[in-house]
Amino acid sequence: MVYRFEYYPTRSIDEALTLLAEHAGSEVVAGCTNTIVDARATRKIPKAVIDINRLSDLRYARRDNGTIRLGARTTLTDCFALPFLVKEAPVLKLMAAEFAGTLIRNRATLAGNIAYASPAADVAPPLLALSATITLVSKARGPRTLPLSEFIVGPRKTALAEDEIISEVAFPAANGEVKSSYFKFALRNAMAISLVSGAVVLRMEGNKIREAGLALGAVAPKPYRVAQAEGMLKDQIPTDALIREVAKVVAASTSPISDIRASAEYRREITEVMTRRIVERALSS
Amino acid sequence: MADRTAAKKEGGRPPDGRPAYVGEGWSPSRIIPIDTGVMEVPELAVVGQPVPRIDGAMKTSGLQRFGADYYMPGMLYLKTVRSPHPHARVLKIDGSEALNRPGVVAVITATDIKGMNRHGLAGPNRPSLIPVGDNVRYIGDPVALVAAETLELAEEAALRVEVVYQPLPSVFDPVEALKPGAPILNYDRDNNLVSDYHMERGDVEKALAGAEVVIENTYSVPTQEHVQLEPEAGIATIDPDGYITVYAASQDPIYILRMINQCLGLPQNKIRVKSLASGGSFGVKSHVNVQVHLALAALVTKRPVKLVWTREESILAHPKRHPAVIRHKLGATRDGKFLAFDVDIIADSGAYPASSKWVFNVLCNAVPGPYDFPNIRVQGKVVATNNPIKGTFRGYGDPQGFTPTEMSIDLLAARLGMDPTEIRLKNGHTQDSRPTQHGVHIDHPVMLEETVRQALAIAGPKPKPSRPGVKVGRGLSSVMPSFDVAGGKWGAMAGTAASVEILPDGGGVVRCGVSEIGVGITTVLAQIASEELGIDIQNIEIVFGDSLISPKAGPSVASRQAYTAGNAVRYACQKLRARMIEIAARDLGVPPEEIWQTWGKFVVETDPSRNLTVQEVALSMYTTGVDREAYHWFRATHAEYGHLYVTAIADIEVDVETGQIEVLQVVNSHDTGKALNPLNVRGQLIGGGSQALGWVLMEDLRVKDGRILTPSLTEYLTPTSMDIPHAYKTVIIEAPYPTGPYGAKGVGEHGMDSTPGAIMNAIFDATGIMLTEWPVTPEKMWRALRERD
Amino acid sequence: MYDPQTIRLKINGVEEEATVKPYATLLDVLRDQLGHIEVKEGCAVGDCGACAVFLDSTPVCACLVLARQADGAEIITAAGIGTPENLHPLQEAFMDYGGIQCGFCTPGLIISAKALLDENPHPTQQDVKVALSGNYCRCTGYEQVIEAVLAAAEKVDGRHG
Repeated sequence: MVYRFEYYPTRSIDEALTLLAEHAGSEVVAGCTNTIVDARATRKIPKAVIDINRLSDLRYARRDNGTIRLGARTTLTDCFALPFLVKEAPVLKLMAAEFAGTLIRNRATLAGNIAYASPAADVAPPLLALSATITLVSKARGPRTLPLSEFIVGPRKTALAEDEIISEVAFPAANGEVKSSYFKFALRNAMAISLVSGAVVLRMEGNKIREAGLALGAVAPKPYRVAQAEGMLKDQIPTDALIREVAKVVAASTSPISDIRASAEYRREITEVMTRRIVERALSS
Repeated sequence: MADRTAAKKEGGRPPDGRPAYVGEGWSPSRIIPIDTGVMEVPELAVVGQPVPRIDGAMKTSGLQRFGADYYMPGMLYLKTVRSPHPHARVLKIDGSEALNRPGVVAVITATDIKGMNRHGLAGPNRPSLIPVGDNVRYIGDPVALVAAETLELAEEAALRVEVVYQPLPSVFDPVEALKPGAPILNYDRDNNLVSDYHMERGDVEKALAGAEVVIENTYSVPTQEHVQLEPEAGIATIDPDGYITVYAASQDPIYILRMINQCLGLPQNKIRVKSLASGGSFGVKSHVNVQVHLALAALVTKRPVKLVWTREESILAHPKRHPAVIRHKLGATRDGKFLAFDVDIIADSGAYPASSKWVFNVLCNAVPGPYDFPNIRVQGKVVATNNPIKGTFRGYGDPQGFTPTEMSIDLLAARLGMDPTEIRLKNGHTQDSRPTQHGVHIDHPVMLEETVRQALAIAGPKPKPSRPGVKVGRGLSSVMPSFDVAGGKWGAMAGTAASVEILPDGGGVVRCGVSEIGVGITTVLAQIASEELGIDIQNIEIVFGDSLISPKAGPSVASRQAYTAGNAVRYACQKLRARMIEIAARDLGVPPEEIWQTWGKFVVETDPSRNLTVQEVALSMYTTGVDREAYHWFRATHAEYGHLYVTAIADIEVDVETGQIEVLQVVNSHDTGKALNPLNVRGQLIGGGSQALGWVLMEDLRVKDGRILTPSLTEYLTPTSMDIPHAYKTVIIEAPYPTGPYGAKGVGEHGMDSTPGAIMNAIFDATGIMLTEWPVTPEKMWRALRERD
Repeated sequence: MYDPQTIRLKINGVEEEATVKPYATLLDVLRDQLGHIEVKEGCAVGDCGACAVFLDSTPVCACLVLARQADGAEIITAAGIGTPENLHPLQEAFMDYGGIQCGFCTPGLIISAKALLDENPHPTQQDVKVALSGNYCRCTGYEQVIEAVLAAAEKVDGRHG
């Protein structure tokens, strides 16, 4: 529509960082699935885009001792197309399977969705449940790593400094049995913004939950882990009653909005119902 | 002249190069031929076969050109300047700042319009551009056009056209709009009433008072946005002598031509409209969209011009389905015989009358459905407001009229403890029924019961719940849509013409002013010509939608063209064939009665070794000066409209904790008369069924104070491939319709007419809750379930 | 500012080049500058999939790719899968099974369906639905499209091209 921006291709991370430091008001892009849409709607027009779409250095998914490392250019499709990743983090596959539609998944990156920080964004909840960290890098200060939960600050706000690029998302590899599940609740079965989304990752020891990661999206200003619920599940052999209690606590933790898609009350209700279901589903998987 | 046409083929189907698995009469619909003794359908070689679309190769490679796919040297790009206010007086339009920008060639306003500056389907009721001193009446109402060398320049310049508005009080509720003191939108009267309707038979009040059971209910039937995949687009060219050609999809090239003439004052012989193949329409392109603007801009700039609406602009600007509040009082005996139906309707016309008068008429006529009501009163009003315009959308009032009736009948059945099917058959049309609606002529034989039986048979047993926590429901809906037969006394639909020409090399050209909006009419016409002339379908060219070249066919709406254009083409072909038989007879030295037509040949009956090919006869006609073209003007004489019956069944599953609804199965059982192309018929029933599913379950066009809160495809949701039912089943009942081509009726709209009621009734069956407003989003279902429990 | 630059694309096997502004999308360039009108614009924001093309073997919405991002890339459009003189069996199946009505969404569907068959020569009905989940069709209700893709799978053995 009526928008203009400069375009800078990059051939190395260093070149990207240099350009980013030089050009204030520019945005790093890969899949462009949000950038072009926002520019067209004149919601947000960057001065320039710095394209990391071809940086092979940011395209990887590997295990590094006990950590799974995903380069910033890991796409949604990768989450179910890379057997390695499917094995290490089936919860990401579940999330990716419901994310937008096939054509968007082929371009959208995990990092891009995280950086956009829409409260309803789908990528963060399963990564939070996996206790993910995120690594940022700038020309001036080099890399820094922080928990994903600290990176996303609020609606459309992250801890990304103006001269920083996301280089990697990482999470601990499964050490033992892991059961996980996911839900996305929306008004149709593809290409829809979540009313509520949630992910649960349970590190098991036999029947006992050693550690639980449970995170929600679209029901608060930012996606978040429900620490209280995780605490209730920790070291438990869960019963139906416990699961119901946990679901109630999770629902109570939400602060959803009412908008054209749904009311806050309904979002809270769905949170409770779907949390219960995915915990049950995870445990019986 | 005896018409000796066996239309027999030598040795089976004509060679057409299609793979064998298509050629063996394959069709996934269940086709039920019914011999009612009213018409003998000849043995057919091409008609009735699942012939692939003749434009399929172009479409499947993407090389088919739609309106936005044309580029001309020296072309200017247009951008429309639109009102941001729902109701305002235009005080000033100043394009000087825009014009000063490089590459901007013109800023065009109503002052450039020399004609009446009015268009509209039901009369000249809407300006093409709102002039200074007149009012804009909805958000999106066009006030100016900018023409520039590139789209980017046009878009930027459009932002700099200064329009000064004086906002006026607005009205958004039809009831409010009828009250004294409401701001007036109509041009031709001092109130906001666009049209009203009154139909009465018997004494409805007395009958209701005496009825043993009365169902009272009020339904809020919503609007719907077309989301046709091709946003409105086109180009126009102008010759040095002022001859203008407009290329854009529409549903009636002559209507567009007349509107350009009416708005701009250009003589009709100086205008050519090419109604391009449309990337979907569902009625919306029966309205003027880009065409007058294109012609005007070409006239002003003297250059080729292009106008392409964005998707958001398409949603903003074009007319949508009429919403209505419909109140029912349905009275019956304790054993389920309908006694009385008292219905009150108020509908929103939006900012301009458009086609509201006629849509509303169809809506109100649809209320009684396929049932006999000894006492009935239907009254209603359609009213102007500052909401988005309401206009033509598949079904054209039928879905809005039929659906609540189907729902009230299920409420009645439940109240009486009767089976919903039983109560419908008890009151439905039979061979002896008399029409209860205005001007309705029921076409016999009546196939209502057959559609019901076949729908139930193919639906199979009601499914069991797939898991704990869900409830399964089955709903049925029987409707009686009308289709146009070019039998009316007046209007663009009153007659359809076609001409057929045999080329000197034996190929065929069919010229007919239909528009191809995606339903496959051009393929059907080619099938008919192929059948009648005995030539391969690949050798037939269809020239359609060209106001200059293809004879007037009327609008491609109202599920009419298979019937009207099909007949026109068929009769034209028969006239031509008779002439060819004469020439064959002449050249073979036998009387015409001794000539048989077989595939590709004319043979002497008693000595088939003496024959002439179609090519030989055609060349002979050419060289000996015989007219190779025949024309036919078709009008039905038996009725103004045809009617048929459709029964839909929907099976759904409701998740009682979340309110989510999953559609398991949709069945449509259709009284087709004759499926000229079973692939097309099935495609229409399923496509219409999907649009119905969307309307009822997810399509939620939110409008507040005239502003569309769901302005793009991100907010307005239509079904994706992940949302369709697990199974679609279709039944085609072929009880031949005597005046239809090979017995055919229409089909295009009917999946949309029948399916909404089936889904709403399925929800009732599953939950015991009859919702009276839709779309039934998960939250809506959930709230209803909670309120009940 | 915003100086146009030349990019090189290999489109349907043919080397082409265009001079494009930094913010131009691949969709606009393919259509307006390079004449590939078989790539259709249905929404321009990635919601409808009508503009789907293969970008270096991956099906994407061309409206969400900046033209400059595609510099040096290989692009295949529906016309590269097959033309009227030489249709791909997938395209023939669309015709034979009633998978085409208005045709506006068809080129995008062909890309998504071809991508599926390249990767999974024996898809289930559900696989087909998922593969097409980013492509709108308002005419067919998808059913006959899905049947066409399943029928094509029987005929095509999963080779590229």
